[in-house]
Amino acid sequence: MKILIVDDSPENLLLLTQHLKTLGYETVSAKNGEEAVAVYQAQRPDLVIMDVMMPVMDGYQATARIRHLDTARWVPILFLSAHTDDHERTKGLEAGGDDYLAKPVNVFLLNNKIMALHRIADMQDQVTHYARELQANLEQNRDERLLARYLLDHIIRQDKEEPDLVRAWVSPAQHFSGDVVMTARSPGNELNVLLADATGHGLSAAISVIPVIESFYSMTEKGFSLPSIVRELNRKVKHLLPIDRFVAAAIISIDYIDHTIRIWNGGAPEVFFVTDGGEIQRTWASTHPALGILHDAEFDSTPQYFQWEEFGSVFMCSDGLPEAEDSSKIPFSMTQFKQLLARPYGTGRFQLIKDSLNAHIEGAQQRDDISLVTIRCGEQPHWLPLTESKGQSQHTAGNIHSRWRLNLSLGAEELRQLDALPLIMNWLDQLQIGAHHRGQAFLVLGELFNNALDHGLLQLDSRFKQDPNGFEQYINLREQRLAGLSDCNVEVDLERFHIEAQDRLRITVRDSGPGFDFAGMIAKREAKPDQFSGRGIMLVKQMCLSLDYSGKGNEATAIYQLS
Amino acid sequence: MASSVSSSVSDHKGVLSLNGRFDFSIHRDFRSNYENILNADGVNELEVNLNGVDYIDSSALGMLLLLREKAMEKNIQMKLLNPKDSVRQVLEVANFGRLFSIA
Repeated sequence: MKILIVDDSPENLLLLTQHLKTLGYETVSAKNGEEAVAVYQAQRPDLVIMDVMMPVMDGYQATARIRHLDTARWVPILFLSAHTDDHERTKGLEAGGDDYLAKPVNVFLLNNKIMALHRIADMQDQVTHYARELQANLEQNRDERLLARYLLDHIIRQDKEEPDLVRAWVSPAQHFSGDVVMTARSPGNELNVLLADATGHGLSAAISVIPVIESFYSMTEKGFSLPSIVRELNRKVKHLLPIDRFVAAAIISIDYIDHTIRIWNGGAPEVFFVTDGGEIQRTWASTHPALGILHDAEFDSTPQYFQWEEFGSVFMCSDGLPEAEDSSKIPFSMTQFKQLLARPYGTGRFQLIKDSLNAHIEGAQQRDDISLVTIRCGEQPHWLPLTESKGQSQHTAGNIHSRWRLNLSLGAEELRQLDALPLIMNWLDQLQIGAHHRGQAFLVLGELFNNALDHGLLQLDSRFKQDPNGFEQYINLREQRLAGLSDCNVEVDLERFHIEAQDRLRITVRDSGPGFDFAGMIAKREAKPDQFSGRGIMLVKQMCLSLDYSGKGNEATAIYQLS
Repeated sequence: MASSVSSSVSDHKGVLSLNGRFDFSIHRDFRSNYENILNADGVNELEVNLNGVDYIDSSALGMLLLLREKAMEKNIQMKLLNPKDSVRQVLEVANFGRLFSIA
């Protein structure tokens, strides 16, 4: 440790210097205040022993100068003075001194004071060091946060939102939300909505949810079914996140043609279907662990099903909503949420829940991200291709001279394992049939393919679907029969051809089943157009130039106009 | 109420007892206590006593999953015991019944 001794008396200087040197300190000296400031700057001592009464510049002035010069570092200054009255002491402390010692110097007391001041100086150094480190961290943290914020703001695809159908409110506990709500439309015109809630909250939760976001969009866009999407999300989260991190999620897929809802709920609170009359008609509790907990082999992607007869709305929330505590730690509760839900459509339920919740948590600390989503299950949305008249499209589909043919045959094993439609759509994308036709072609192909499989091979009776409870039965039976399927195939034949300068797509789907009474089915459909079953086929008929069945009814051919 | 974690080992059975709010704030205590149990010789059973827990959040569920993984590595049977109704509900929503034996 280096000590600066300032005294105008050479005897005192010598005495103190020798004394401190024998104690093992390094010393430097100055004869007056002005010199003291210069030596201080040049030598950077760790402690200063300063006489008060000196020529040129006294000890108080020198101390004030030193304090002014060096604000980054605290160096203790000990005054020596013959004046020991309180007034003098106060003056010294005011000038920036730290302690006071009377002359003549008591050597024993001096040693103790030096040691005490040295201890304080060490602590001070440490505090300064930590403060600097903290400041640097804060700045780095702010930069990182800005970048993360930017990334997260851009990863949620706002262009995919469906404001007419889906309303969402997300209230993060911190700067970042570990809750996200996403919507995306599949090429088959199903609306997929995902509410995901990653473990914890803040930036770490927000980062954890990113893999889910990306996969959800890309899988939906490619037309994968809900179980395939959920399985992929689980695989992603399991692979990317550590064991103690996971993502609770409710994923809903809505088909506005069939009025069906498929839902997979893993670790999210109950999801409700509330009729326009205000009755909670259906509740879907979590039936799976959250995404990222189970290995692929243990993971169950089976969704739950529902078909609505009366118009209504789906409501879902993250666990932050029922668990939100008020200032006396009373949670908002699921009971209160349900009470607010059970009101007729058009009575401002969404806003009411939001307002009630905000009132509830006012003055309390928000511990978790809160989100609320409602999805309208009513009239067919405007984007469904219902009103499109056949063959009138002005959209061109790639090069009109292109012609190709694609033939694919899937056996029992492939029918069980593959999500065949996205696969075929992927080829169609490569062959550039154009964005406009993509959705419609997907719908036609999907309808014919599913009919071939469900009715042609699995011999499922679509009348099941007319009964609201029958839908689940239908799905269960479908799974059973699919598992037992053998020695059969579905053949898909796609051909782009030209006739009279018109560009057309022929879609043929053939199954190896016994066929069915297609003439009777179509007649019945036309008589009762509002029934659920066969509605898809009617849509196909509307969208295509023609739809014909041949053979025993096990071959369907649709002609679709591309330009 | 302040949260606390304690552990004891007798014979082949380790008991981890939790009290108060079970969330990320107790993760250090949680870890040092389960390490005591997992590192003890001859333990093949681990009981996590949730009797005193009145709140559990998702990061706590994550901590339980991590412990499950570590217990499985050492072939230790893990059980969750005596959750209060509110805690049991959270475990049910998370479908933890599929992953843990809960009594």
